[in-house]
Amino acid sequence: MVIFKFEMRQLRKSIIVWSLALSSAIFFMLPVYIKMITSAGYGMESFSDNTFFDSIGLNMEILNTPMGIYYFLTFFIMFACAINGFNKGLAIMTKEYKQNSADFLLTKPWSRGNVYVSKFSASAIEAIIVGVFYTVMSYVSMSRGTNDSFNLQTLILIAALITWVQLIFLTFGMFIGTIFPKIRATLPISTGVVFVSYATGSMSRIVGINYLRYLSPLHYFNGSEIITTASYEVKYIVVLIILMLLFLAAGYKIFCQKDIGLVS
Amino acid sequence: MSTNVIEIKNLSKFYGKHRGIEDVSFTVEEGEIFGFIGPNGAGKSTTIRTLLALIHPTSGSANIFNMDCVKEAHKIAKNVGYLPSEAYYYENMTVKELLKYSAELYQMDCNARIDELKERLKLDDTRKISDLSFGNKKKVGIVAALLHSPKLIILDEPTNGLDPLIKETFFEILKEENKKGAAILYSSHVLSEVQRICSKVAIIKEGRIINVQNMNELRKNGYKKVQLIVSEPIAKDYFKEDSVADYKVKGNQVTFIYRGEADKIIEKLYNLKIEDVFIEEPTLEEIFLHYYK
Repeated sequence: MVIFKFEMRQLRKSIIVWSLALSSAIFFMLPVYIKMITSAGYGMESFSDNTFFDSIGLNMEILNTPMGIYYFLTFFIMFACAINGFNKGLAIMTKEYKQNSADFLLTKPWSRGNVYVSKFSASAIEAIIVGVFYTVMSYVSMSRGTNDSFNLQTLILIAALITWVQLIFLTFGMFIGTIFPKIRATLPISTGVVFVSYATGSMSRIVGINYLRYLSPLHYFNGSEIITTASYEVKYIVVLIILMLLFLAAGYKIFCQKDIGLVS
Repeated sequence: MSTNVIEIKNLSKFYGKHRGIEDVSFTVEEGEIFGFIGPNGAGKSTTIRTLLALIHPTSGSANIFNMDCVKEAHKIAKNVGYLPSEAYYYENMTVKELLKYSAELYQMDCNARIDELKERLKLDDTRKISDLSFGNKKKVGIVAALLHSPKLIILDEPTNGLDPLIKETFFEILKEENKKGAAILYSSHVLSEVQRICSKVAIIKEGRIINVQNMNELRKNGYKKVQLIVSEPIAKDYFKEDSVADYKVKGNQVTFIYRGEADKIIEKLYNLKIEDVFIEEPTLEEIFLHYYK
């Protein structure tokens, strides 16, 4: 608990900044986009052949609805959250090496397993807090942007995507950070990893190679499907949870057995 | 009957093909101040890091308080204070925050002890870690290692970066901790420091323990680096071969390393025609080069 609290204190600023940034983004953008796209004569038909919307899991019919627009905006926010999640995972594991504080922490009366779980828990709580803020602000923003009624469950499912994506990339980042603890520039690596993952997932949807979609957690969710059925695709959620558990378990095992190099 | 606080048996650590330590064995008893000396790269830090489970041994075993160093590291750590040779901490914290966090990690109220140590070591706790000099970081390390009054103190090159006055205070603190019952493993490459404070010493070279002896024995065979400016040449066999090493003559200047009792060398020197004499402590490297081949 001591290490968890310490990590939470370290993440305090980040929680505030991310919660405010994402909430403000959806609060201001959603009503504007809804107004713009649902206005008569906006001409979304001209995008009907654009494969980009297919690649993010939206069809034109859905995109023309307020919930479709909300998913469209959330997808971009999800991209940022994926980078943040991976970066947090990498940074929280590599910072003890960067600052050479591993000797200090790992010679205290806490098992390595406890250190790993505390670090994960603090980062996961951050992702959940940011997600809750985003959900609340999404609800307020949606209520403000449309006079039509909307399905709250669908909104929550879409809003929760940013938390799912942060968590899976967080565990992946922690796993990589445990294997390569001496990584210094975490942000460029995080951006690169998420972009490659995004490109792979987009290609799978455009070209129709389905198994490639498993390589991109950003594409485990299909906007049109969530909006029409008010649920996730179960097989992808199962894969996502299995992957998260695998990354966590593997990272935990490696961290517990790893030699901590001498500072020189 | 004394109990072993540290028990190392045939401990080896290899990094791939590279040797870290090989077949290291020694014990540290309760209440003992145990010196661990060897030149840089001999394996002192590797041994200590294995004891602290920072690295995992290739073979052999290491126990502290009769618990396995790897399997029960976190239980052992409750009663161990460790000062690394290079003291690094979270740069964005102040000294006060770091020491508070350190005390929290031991789940103890250490405020009084922290205040006492801070005052004795003249440590300003309002400063950020990133603004501290190497010596001040070392002081933070000393407080962090001793704040929970551990039963075993492990020190790796502890006096690096400390000024002479603080060094004195540090030795006083260590002696007090020892009187209270703490055992100390003191690793250094400065022989005089080890001679001053330790009761027993293990000598390590190239990853292997080459000798474990009582400090009295080591003192008896104290090493001196002698430099003489003579007005008359010295006979070749004037000094016994087994007590003198690295004997060099350059003009009227004679240098050698002496190992033996002090009164005997004084007696020898007394009978020579000497213009000047310098007697100093040889470096550990010099001793190792000539006596621990």
